[in-house]
Amino acid sequence: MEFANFTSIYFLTSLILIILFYIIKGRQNSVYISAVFLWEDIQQQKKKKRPRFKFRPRPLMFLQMLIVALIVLGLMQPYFTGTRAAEENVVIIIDKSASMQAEDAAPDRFSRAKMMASSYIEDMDSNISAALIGAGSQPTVLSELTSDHGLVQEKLADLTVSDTELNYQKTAELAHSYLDEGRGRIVFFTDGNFPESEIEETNILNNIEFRLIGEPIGNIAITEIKLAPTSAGANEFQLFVEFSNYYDTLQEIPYVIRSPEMVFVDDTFTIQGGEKEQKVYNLNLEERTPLIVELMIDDTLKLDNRAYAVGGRSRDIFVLIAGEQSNYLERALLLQPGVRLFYREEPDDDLNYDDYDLVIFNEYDPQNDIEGKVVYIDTLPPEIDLDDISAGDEFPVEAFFWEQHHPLLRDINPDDLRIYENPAPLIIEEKDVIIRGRQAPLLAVSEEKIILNFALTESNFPLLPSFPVFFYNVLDMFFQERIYPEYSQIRSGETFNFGRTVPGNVVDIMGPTGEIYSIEEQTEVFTRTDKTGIYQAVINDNSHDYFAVNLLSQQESDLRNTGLNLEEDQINDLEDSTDTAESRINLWPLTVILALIVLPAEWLLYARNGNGV
Amino acid sequence: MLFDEEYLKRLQKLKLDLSRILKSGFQGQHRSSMAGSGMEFNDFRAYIPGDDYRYIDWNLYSRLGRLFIKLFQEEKEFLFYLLIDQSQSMSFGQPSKIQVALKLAGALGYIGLSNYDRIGASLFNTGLDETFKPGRGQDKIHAYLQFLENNMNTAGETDLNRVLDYLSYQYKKPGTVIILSDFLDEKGYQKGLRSLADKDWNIFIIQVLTPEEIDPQIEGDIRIVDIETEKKTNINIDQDALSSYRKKVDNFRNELQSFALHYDIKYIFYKTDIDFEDLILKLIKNKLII
Repeated sequence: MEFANFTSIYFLTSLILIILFYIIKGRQNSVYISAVFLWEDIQQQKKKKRPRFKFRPRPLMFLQMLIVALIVLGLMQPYFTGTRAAEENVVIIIDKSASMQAEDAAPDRFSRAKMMASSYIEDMDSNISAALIGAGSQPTVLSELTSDHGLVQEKLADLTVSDTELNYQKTAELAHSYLDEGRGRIVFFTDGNFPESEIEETNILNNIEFRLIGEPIGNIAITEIKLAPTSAGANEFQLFVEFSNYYDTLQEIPYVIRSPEMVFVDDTFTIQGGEKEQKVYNLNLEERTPLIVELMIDDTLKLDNRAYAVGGRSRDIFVLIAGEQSNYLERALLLQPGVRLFYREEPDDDLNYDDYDLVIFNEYDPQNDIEGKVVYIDTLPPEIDLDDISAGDEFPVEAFFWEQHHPLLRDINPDDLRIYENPAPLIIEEKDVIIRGRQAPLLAVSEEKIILNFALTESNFPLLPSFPVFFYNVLDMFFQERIYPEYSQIRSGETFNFGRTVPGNVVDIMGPTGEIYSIEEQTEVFTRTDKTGIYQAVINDNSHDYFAVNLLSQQESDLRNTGLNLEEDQINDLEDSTDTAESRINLWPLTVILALIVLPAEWLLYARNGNGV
Repeated sequence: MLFDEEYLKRLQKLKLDLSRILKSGFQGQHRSSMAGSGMEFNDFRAYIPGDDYRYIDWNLYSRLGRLFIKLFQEEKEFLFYLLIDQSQSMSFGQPSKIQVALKLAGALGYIGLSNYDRIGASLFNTGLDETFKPGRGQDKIHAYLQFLENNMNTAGETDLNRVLDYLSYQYKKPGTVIILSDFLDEKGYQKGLRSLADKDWNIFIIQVLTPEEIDPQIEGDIRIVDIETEKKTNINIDQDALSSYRKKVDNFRNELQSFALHYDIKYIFYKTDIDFEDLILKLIKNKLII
C-alpha cells in the first residue's frame, strides 16, 4: 500500500488530544438525574478511595480514536497499484500532425504509426472495445468505442495526415473522456513532438501509454513569413521570411521565391547549426498574387520547406451611394483601393441593399432600417430620434469635442471642420459620439452605422485634405481583412474569416491540392485548413480571391525534440503489446465508509452513557 | 396527546372489566349513617326553631297539631382526591413519570366519576398548583381528562409535607386521597402523611419510579446533576457504586412502605414500564382500591 499524501499522518497527533480530553475532562460528563441525595453517601465513600486523577480508558474513547484514525488514513490517500484487466476500453490515438510526415521512419512516421496501430488492433482480444482518435490541431473521433475491430481498422486506413500542429492537451482530454471513470488504456502512436509544458499541464498522463515513432533528427524549416504593403507604391510589398536550422551543423540552403508565373529570387545562403536566418525582400506584386518561398533541399520533413503568401489587394468592395450625387464623395471613394462604386439617386423599392458591402445615404432618408454597413450623411437611420430642442449653434458650427484616438479619426484634425447649418439634435448615446459640436453631435458611430450629422455641401469637410482619409478610415474599419494581405494568411488548422459573402453568390473554396469545398450561404468562416498551401475562393461570378495557409511551427519542425520530453517508463515498444497496464486502486473511499460505519456505534454509546438516572 | 382515542377505548374496556369484577362480589355503594338532606326518608323529629321549614310535614301537623321535621338518610359524599406530583423530577424517564402518573390518575378518575363518586384532583410541587374542584357524575369525565391533559408540564421541587398538610386543612371532612409521586423529596414525606392520617383520611400512595431510577445504566466519571435542585456531584460510577445505589433505592422504598404500614396507609409501587390497566385491575382484585 502506498500513500499519495503521506504528510497527513501528522494529523494523528489529534489522538493525543482525545486521550487528554478523557484524562482532564472525563469527570465533567454531566448527567441529569432525578435525585442526587440517593447518590451522596456513595459519592462520599468513593471520594475516600479515589485518586485525584485516574485515566480510565473507555470504549467510547477507543471508538472516537478509531474514527479519527480512519479519517487521517483517508487524508493520506492510500492506494494500491496493480495491473488492469485486459477487458477494459482502449482508446487509440494516431498523431497526424505535421511532424509525422518526417521520413526518418520509412516510409514516414505517420504511415509507420498506422501500421503499428493496425497491428495493435489485430492483437487485441475480441471483447475489448476500442475507439480511434486522430490528433491534429483539433482531435477528431474517427471511431467511437466499439468491439467491431474491423470497423476501427477501416477508419484507421482512411486516416490521412494533416499539416497542422498537434494540440496535445485537447487530445488527451478527449481520449480521457472515453475512459470509464479513469479505467482503461489510452495508447498514443506519436513521435512525441510536443513541448514538455503541455505534458505538465495535462495531469492525466498516467493513463496514456506512448508508442514512439521516429528518432531525434535535424531539419530545416521556414518558421515565419509575412507580406505587407509598403508606401513605395500601390503594388509594392515587403516580404519577411525566417529560416530555422534545426541541425547542429552549418547548412547551405538554396531557395527560390516565386509566383506561379515568375521567379523573383533564386539564391543560396548558409545558416549556422541551431540558428535562425531572417530575410526581407521588396517585391512588386500584381493584385492577389500567390507567392511561394521554397527551400530546394531534401531533408527529413519536406512540408516546412515551403511557405506561402498572397500579395496585392483583396477583392473589390461594392459601395452604393444612394441620394444626392456628390463629386467630392465619389472621388474620395474612388481613391480607395478596390472600391467599386454604384449610384442610385432615387432608390427603388425593390433595390436589394444586401448586394452591397457598404451603403452611403447622402441627404436621402431611407424608408426602412438597413442591415449591414451604412454611412448616413445629413440623414438619419429610422431608429434614431431627434430632440425637440433647437441645436442653436452659432455659425459656423465647429467641433467642440472629439475622440482623438478613434480609428475613424486617424490622420484627421476635426479642429479645421466648419459647418454652416444647424446639425440635427440627435438623441444618441454619448459613447457613440465621435465628434460633438456645442449643441449636437456631428459624427457618431452606432454598431455598423456611421452618421455624419451635416450636409457635405454645407460644410468645408469635402474641401479638407482629410476628407478622403476619412473614407479610407471608414473602409479600413469596416473591411480591414480585405485591404491588408496579412489577413489573407493564416496558420494551418486556424479558421479563415473571408468576410460576408455577397448574397445569392455561392462560394467554393479550392484547396492546395485541388479539392473543392462548397461554402453555405451566409457562412463567413472556413475551417478545413489542415493542409498548407494557397487556397482559392471562387465566387460564381468568376471573381476569385486567395489566402495562404502555412505551418510555421517550431514544435513540429524541430525534430530534435522527437520523444525527448517523454519519460522512459511512458514509452512502450511495439513488441510490448501485453494488454495490461498499471492502475491505481484508491482506498480512501473505503476508510471513509468505515468511519461512517463506526460513527453510529460511537453515537449510540455516547447516547447510552448520556442517559443517566 | 396524552388521552387519545386509544386511551379512552382502554378506559371503556377497563370500566367493563371492573363491572364484571364488582358483580362477582364487591359492593360498590357507600352509605352513611349520618342523617341529612339526602333523598331517602328516614324518620321524624320535633321542629326546633331554625330548622328548614321546607321539611315540615304539614300532613302530620294537620293530624297531630304539632310541627315535625322529616328526616332523610343522606348518601355519603364519598370524596376521592387525587394528588399528582408535577415537580421537575417527574419529567424523568421515557415515558416520563408525569405522563404515566397522569394516565393512571385519568383512569382512576374515570372509574370514580362513572361510579358517581365525587372526584377532585390537584397537581403539586412545593404547593398545590392546579386543582380540579371535586365533582361527580359522568358529565365531568371530559373536563377531568382535559384538566389532566393541560397539566403535563413539570416544574419546581417537591415539598410533600407542606402539600399534604395543606390538604388536611383544606378539607374538613376526610375522604380518600390517592397520592401519585416518586416521593423523591429530600425533606421527607412523613409529617404530611401523618397529618392526613391523623384526620382519618383514607390514604393511598402510589410511588412512581422509572426502571432507570431503580437500575441505572451509567458508568464512568460522571457529574450528576439533580434535575430539580441543579445540585451537582462528581462521582465515579462503577459496579460497586451501582450496587450501593440499588441498595439505597431499595431502602428508600422499604422505609416508605414501613411508614405506610404503620399509619394504615396503602402503599403501591408502580414501575413505569408496567401498563396502568394491569396495575388498576391488580389493585382492585387485591382489594387495595375500590
